[in-house]
Amino acid sequence: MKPIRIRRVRPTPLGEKGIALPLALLGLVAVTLLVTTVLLTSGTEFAVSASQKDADRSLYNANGALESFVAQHAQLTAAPNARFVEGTDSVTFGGLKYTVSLVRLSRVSTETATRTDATDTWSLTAVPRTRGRGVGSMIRVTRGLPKLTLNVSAGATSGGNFSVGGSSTVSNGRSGQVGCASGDTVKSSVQVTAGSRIDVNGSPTLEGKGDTSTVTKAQLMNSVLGTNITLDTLAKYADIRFGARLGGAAEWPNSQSKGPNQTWSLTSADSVFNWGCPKLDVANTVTCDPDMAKRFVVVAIDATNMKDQAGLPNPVTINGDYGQGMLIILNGSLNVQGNFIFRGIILVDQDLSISGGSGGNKFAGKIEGTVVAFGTQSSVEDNVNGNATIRYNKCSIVDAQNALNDGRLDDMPQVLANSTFAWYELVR
Amino acid sequence: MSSAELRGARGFTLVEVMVALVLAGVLAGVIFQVVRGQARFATVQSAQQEVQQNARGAIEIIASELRGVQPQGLVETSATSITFQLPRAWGVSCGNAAGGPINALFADVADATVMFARDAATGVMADTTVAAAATTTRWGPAPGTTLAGRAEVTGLAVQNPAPGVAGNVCANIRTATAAAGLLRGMTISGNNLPATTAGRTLYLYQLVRYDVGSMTGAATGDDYWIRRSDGLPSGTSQQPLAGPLPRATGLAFSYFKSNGTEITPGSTRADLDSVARIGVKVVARSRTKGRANLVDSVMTSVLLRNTP
Repeated sequence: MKPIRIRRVRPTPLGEKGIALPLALLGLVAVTLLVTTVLLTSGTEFAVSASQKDADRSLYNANGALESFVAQHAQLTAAPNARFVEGTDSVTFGGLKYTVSLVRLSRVSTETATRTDATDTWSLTAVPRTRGRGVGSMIRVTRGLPKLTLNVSAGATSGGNFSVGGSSTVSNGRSGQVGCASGDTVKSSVQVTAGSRIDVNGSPTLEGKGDTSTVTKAQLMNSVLGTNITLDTLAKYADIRFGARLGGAAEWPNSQSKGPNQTWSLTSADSVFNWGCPKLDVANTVTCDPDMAKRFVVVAIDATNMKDQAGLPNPVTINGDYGQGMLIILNGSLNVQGNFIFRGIILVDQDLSISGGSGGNKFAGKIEGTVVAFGTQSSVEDNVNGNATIRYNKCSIVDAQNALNDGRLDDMPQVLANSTFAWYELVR
Repeated sequence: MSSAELRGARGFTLVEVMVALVLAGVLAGVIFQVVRGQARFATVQSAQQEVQQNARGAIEIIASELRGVQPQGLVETSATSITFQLPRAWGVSCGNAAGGPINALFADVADATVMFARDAATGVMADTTVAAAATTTRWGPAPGTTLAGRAEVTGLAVQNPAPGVAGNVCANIRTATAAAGLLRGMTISGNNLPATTAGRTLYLYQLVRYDVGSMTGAATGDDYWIRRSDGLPSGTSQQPLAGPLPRATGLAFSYFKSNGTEITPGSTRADLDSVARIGVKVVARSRTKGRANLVDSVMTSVLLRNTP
């Protein structure tokens, strides 16, 4: 019987016999765990710290951007870019671009006989164009200017002949004035330039003398507006502009044969037809909205493109309705029809024609203030027919001038009244 | 296998086995300790993170609100609490008689819904000067006094027509329309509204209070939390902000003038109005019990941006 052979267990080829390898592996695992945890913890801590640091930096950068923008616009010179302009602007701070939104919340004006001064309150926000925090604040600026005042001596002033007809009234303000104390009248009802004449037809009423000035037609604009000031100069400061040349949104809608407030709703978002409401001041039967009664606007209408149906030059036509402030007609004439009621100053580059209308039972006159038609041809007459009324009114003139000067304020250099205030975080 | 072969085979002696077992036991113990220590370390780190994040979060929120506190807006101060007027909207009044309503123009900003938060804790404060940003006569509750008579906003309505449009009630201070998203006219109604004149700065504020409260109601020191409330005597609208804190003094405030002088909390109105910087310290505790029950603190110093 063949003996059973038991195979001998041979050692491993490399001779590993201990537990060094498992121990080393276990140690490696432990160290790996340790390092991983430390890295994870450090990484998390670092991320938290970095996040907080970034958030803080973002906030301070936004604040810096806002202050930087204010500083850039705080110059005391009249440089155009030194003024706040409503809308959006941009500024770079800390290598980041910020969008700055500006809006003027309010203007409070102080009027004296010779100056207009205003305090404007602006709101500014600075928001990074990329991700980050934004801030907002308010700031006050002051502006001021010597007042521009018109030099007029009559209810109606014409650069050429002036014709008064029918049962119309032209007054120097001797009676029937609204809003002004007595004693603020001028001597003349009508004043024309040297060499021009005043024609009276029918049975009109002239309160005050018809006066021929020593001022020539060529001198009239400088005499009334001031040296080197033109209607274009004034139109620049208009609140409302019609005509492409003036940068207006549209041409004056002559075809409507309507006044400013008739065709469009007073609550319309389009405020170019909101010329204020003079009715409240004359204690009439129709009550104006109180805020409409406070609104005095400067309206400039360019007549360059006004044509009649035959395509011939046509005057700007206003039929009925009302307004208050200053109405400036450039490069053409003005034809007022119906019961147009206006309180303030009307300046016409060429000729003024007022016709028809009873003036309504709500108003003593159609034009309460003064009208000046500079005329381009002395042969063209300014007609005042029907029972339309032009009455000199100093208060209305002052209000209109204030509206003009208020517009001019925007071109004046701004002075920061104080540092930014009402600060807040925009994005939290 | 023959017996001779078996005798020739090498093996372990008992001593060798014992030594190996002891060594293996020691090594296993070491590894166990390392792993256990590591696990504990991870737990501690996690707790540390939690504490730090809680404290930092609380600090960030408190600092953010304090930074924008309105001028002279500190109502009550102590070493462990603060009540202040937090602006929700800044605007310009169009002028109104006492009792309101107040018509005002506000910047229309992206987070307007937050800005115009409406609740019973919203008051109105009007700047009485146009020339200076600082308020020379404050309107609002005096520190330590009852809040009775404080203005309360009960209604906020968007003006229609909008600012600049014919018929808008603020035509006296603004006649032109503004680009979309820049301006908002609001009509504020409520109780005890102050009289304002046109052009005056107007603040809509919300009363905010930070202090430490016990969530269990018992002063066991076990469940202290930082809470944010409306600061009204009724104590409504309390919100737990961060915690837990190890003690009731886990939230601490210190007050400084612009020259660095520290002001005793709860002092006079003049002192409160001169506070320019507030130190905030949060001592937080981890929620984990046992050996990982950590306490850590975070501090910051907040410059009041709207201080005159």
